[in-house]
Amino acid sequence: MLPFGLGLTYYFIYLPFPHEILNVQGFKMPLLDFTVAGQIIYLLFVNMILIGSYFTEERFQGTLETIFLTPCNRFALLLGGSLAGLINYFWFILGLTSVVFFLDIEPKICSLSAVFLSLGLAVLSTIVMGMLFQVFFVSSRRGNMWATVFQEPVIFISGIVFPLQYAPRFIRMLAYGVPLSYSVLAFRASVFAAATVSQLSTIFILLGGLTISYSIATVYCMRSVDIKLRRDGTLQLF
Amino acid sequence: MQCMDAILCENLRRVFETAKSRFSFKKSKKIIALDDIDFSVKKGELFGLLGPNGAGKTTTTRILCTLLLPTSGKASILGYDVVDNARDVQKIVNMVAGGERMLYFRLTARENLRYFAELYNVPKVEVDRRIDDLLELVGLIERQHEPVERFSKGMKQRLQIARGLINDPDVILLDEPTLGLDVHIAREIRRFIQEDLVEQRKKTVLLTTHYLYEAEEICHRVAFLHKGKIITTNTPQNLKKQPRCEISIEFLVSSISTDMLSSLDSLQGVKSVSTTERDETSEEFPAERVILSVDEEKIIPQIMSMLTELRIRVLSMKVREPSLEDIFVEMTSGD
Repeated sequence: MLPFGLGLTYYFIYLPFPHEILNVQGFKMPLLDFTVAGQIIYLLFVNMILIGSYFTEERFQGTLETIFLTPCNRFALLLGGSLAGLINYFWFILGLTSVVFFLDIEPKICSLSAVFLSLGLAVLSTIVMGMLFQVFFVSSRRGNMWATVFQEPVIFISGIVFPLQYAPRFIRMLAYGVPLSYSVLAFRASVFAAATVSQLSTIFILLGGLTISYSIATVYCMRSVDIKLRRDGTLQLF
Repeated sequence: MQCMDAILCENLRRVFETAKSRFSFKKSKKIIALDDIDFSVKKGELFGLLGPNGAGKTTTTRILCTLLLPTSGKASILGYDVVDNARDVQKIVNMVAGGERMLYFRLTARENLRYFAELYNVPKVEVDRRIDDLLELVGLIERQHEPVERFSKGMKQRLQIARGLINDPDVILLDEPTLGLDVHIAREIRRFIQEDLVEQRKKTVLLTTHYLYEAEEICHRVAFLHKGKIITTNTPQNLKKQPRCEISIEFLVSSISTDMLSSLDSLQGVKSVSTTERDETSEEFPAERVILSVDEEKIIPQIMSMLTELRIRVLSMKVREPSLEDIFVEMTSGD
């Protein structure tokens, strides 16, 4: 019931939206489509972050150190958490998405490959970003705080709430380093602006490259955090 | 790697630094939890690491199972260094701590073991059989499908032990496994450790506890840890033969005068003589309790001869050997 209730809420919020056409980095789409697409991708992102909070629970239960007792691959641990989050919340996003499509939103899909590629890369990049955020939760009892500090600005620098071309220059510069800004654009363009794979190829390449970079950063951060926790002796603290 | 010792610690040191507030001018404080300790545990041995709270037992255990890095020194498990070969150590070692943490309360007993089996990469064909064996071993096979949150403390501890065996480790670290458990369960766990783990399954076990009688009962060798230092390492029997340790012989006699007590005190080998008040509540007749502290039991015939000579009627006799607790208190007094 919750996703449908939430969907209805969004329905009434978005209903009076003007049917203005925006130019989003070269792709034209209605304001409402722009907003809803951003909402969907952002929900995916937020859910990945929420999964990290389970590590806080693991700390309280004492199971975090039980996990660290084992020789299991730490990267696999984080990936498992992200995938679990995706499975857990995918139905939620689907339910919300189905409701908002009653808002007279008409997808303009020219290439299904572009849609699947953009959605696939969006999910992959969000999983990787979620894993990086999980490292915060593992590393510190203040993981919640750190995740919030980094999570909130992402809304602005990823182009979710407004097109990036209207953002100040320094925000646009920051946006280059955030996978979410590419995945949101690719999703919007492929679903609502009839973009093709060739039109989005640069975005896909950059998004893929960033996803790989974030994966490497996650591995490195997790390794450092592992050593730090064992050096400081804070693994069992809750 | 061929290695005589299952566990080897050389000049192991661990210093904790208390967290310093960014806005405070106070320096952070250093706490030396382990101060260059050396000890070794042979394969198949049940070794007790004993000491009061804060001695450094848990710190030692955590270093050996790779949850904590030493500040300096070396520690190894079956030849694998706990720092350089941490992953190899994690495959052959497991730790069971006292208390109720380290389990997923919302999962059932079986689900908990299955999850940890996955984390330890136990072969899939082996998982179910091993879980069945372990649940049978710890007496939880009937309750395997119940969530752990419904278990009693003793049951949780038994499940912890099952979790500690899920990867069939060569070395098991038991950190106060009977903490907070009632007498029956604690006794059962001690029997399990001694008979099932060590004698039958030939595991090497490092047991940390501040219940010294526990180590006295089951350990092959013990080490006393006090304020981060190892005071002594020996078998419980050898420790009791230490010169500073006294045997108490308690006699219940009909009556004894001060002169008679002086005669007993003058015997060679008798360190001290004391009496307690007359027991007026005795059913037969009021008796007097005389306690002699001696170095060795072989002085008893001499004492009995003297008592006979002095025509002292002995109603009962009790010999009390020093316990590990007595020895530990004796060794650490004055600190």
